[in-house]
Amino acid sequence: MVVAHYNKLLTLSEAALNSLSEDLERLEIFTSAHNQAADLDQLNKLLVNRVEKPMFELARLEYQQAVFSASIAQYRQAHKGLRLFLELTLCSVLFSAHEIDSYLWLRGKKDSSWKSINCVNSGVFSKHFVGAFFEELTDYCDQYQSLAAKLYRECSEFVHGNRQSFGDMNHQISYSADSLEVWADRADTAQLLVKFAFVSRYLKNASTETRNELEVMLLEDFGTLSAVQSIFGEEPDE
Amino acid sequence: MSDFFYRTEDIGPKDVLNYFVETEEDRSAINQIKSRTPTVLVGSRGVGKSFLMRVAEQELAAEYAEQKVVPVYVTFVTSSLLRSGDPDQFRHWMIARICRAVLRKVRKMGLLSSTPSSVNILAGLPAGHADTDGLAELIRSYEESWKTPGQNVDASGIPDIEEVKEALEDLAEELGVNRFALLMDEAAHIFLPTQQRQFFTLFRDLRSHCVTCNAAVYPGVTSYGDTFQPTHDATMVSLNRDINDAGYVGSMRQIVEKQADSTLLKRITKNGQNFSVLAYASTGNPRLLLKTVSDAPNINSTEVNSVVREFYRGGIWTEHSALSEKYVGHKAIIDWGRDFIEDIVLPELKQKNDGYLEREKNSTSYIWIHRDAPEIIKEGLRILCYTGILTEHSGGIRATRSEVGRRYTVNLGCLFAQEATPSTTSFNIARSLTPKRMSEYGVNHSAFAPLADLGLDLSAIQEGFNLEEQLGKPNTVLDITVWQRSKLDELELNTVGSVLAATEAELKEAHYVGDVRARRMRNAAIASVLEYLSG
Repeated sequence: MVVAHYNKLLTLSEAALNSLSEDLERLEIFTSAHNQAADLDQLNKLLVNRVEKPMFELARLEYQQAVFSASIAQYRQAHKGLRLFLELTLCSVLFSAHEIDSYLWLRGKKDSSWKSINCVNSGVFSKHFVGAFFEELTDYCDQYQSLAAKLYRECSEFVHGNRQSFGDMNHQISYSADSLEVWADRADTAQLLVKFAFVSRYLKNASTETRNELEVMLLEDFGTLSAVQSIFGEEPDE
Repeated sequence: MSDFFYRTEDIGPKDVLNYFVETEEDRSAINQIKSRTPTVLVGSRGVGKSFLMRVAEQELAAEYAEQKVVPVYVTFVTSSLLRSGDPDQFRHWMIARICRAVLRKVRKMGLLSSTPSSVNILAGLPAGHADTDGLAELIRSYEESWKTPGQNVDASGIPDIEEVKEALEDLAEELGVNRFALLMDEAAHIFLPTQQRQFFTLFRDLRSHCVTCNAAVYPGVTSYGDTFQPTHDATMVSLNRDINDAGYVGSMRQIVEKQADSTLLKRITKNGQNFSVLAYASTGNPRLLLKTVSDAPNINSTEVNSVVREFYRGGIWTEHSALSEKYVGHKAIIDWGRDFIEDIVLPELKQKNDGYLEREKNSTSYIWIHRDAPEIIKEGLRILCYTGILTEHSGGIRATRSEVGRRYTVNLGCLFAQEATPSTTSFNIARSLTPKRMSEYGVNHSAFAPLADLGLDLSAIQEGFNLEEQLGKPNTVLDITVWQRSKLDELELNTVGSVLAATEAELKEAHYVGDVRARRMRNAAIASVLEYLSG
């Protein structure tokens, strides 16, 4: 009996995925979100021998989980996963500067806290933090800080079940082009934030080999920033 | 997509602080408003006058316990609707509104529980009687006089100004209040010099040790009446965000950030230079920025190019030219202003900048007008300042041959719109601006001739406009978002008059009954009607 019920839900999920696969325009957006997971593997190369590596690897799994949820029309779950991914990843960056916290976290004796992650004075996008590892990027701190705050808030609406997070969702499992689009855009924003955090925290100290491997990916998003250009030995256009 | 607020009136007073982006100039303006010196804020449409007043109001209210200053916000935006047979209608109506606002405020702040006798004078009532119904009724009669022009309103219940002043002093004493800070918004109608004179006379006469008057007015308000002397009776504060300031783009970005969702923020982050172009084009005017950003939601070069060209060549002028249809008496002056900027000023500035930038020199967006230029030309410039095409930069500037005059900044968007691809070239223009370079227009510059030679008599120009004709205009003249207009259309509120006459219940018949959006939308619609009517 009970198995039959859940089998039915699986069928609905499958139908949702099928609808997505037929919506070619959205399928492209979705595929791009899926492919971004590979970028995270690339970023992982910056963490060789680092204590926060396991934390980031869990965060990566969470991203995959979010993409999966999106594929079967579980949009609320997809947002929850995205938020956890963002929080864990940025927390790993924050803890990287406080090694003891990384160890404590691994032992379950320290929690991540969004408040300290995006703290104006000492969070990962603060001028204090970015200035310590990549001073030329401090001009952009304010922007990324407010972007992170906004995205976290939007995802949190799904965690807390704010009225607007229900939107037009009917409570059945069914594909919604709009919901998928919104989610995918937020996933893309999360990736941008994570990449900026990694660039500002690790890029300067990365080995030439790693830099070369990351060059194409990072110039895609940050090629207009002259500080990043000069790391990759390019002359600014102007 | 983010749904922007274009007007302070659309934001609830309590939420104002959530949207506030403080710059140094803003802070000093707010402190000035909060201080004991009477202040007149001057700025063109959309630069944030109302907003700063609201912020000052909230801050004073929060500091009440220590400072004992009661902030009272009162707006005179509906003044264009006064059409009663009472020749002193404007003064009476202002006094009534101020009195009612004071009473409401002290009650709301919980300062007034019982009714001290001095309150009755404010309410236009005999001693021993206490209610504001009489005042409210009176205000309503005036404001609804547009429906039946010429009808008499019984204003005998309105106290005269000395009585009001004394009542406020008594009230302050009885309540233990140090002073009342009156914040008078939309204070003087630009095309109604008579109202301007009456307002400033009131402003001056109300002044006492326990009342500080503050007002927000448009540039170009110049009829101060007999008793009020600008700079002597009040500190005049011009609201201009300095486009040469290093933090300029950052603070403009924050204004958008407060209202944007993550999608838009990401695009702004990724297209920093395109956003800067829009920020510079708005020349410090938040409303222009929000509008152009909502027209270019992807912030990519194609969109930025087309929005700069379309809005700053067309949209911004529509508002200006609409004035000449409404204020028929001023038509020649308003039209000359547009011709002057479009045919003479912009091509000249563009030509100069092309040369400067080629030789890697500083660029310009400044013009200088001789102080003895004909009065009618100055009137034309004032109207250009009112719509934000020009901004006063500084007075008493010496130009060639030591002649003295006034320097104006030409709206950068209009200048950028001359470029073939604004997204690539205008950023450089904006970054290399210097007020030292300016196009000069002497006393008898040939560009003045088309207007000066008409021999118009400024004082003979008829005031005001034909209200009935304006109320018959379609709702497309209103400055509201596409979504808001679609709701008006849905309700078949097709003319300005029908929007104004619609009751709250009628407006709520659109979808989203009981939604926050319905209230917002109603406020926005009414605010835009009033703004349209007031010029």
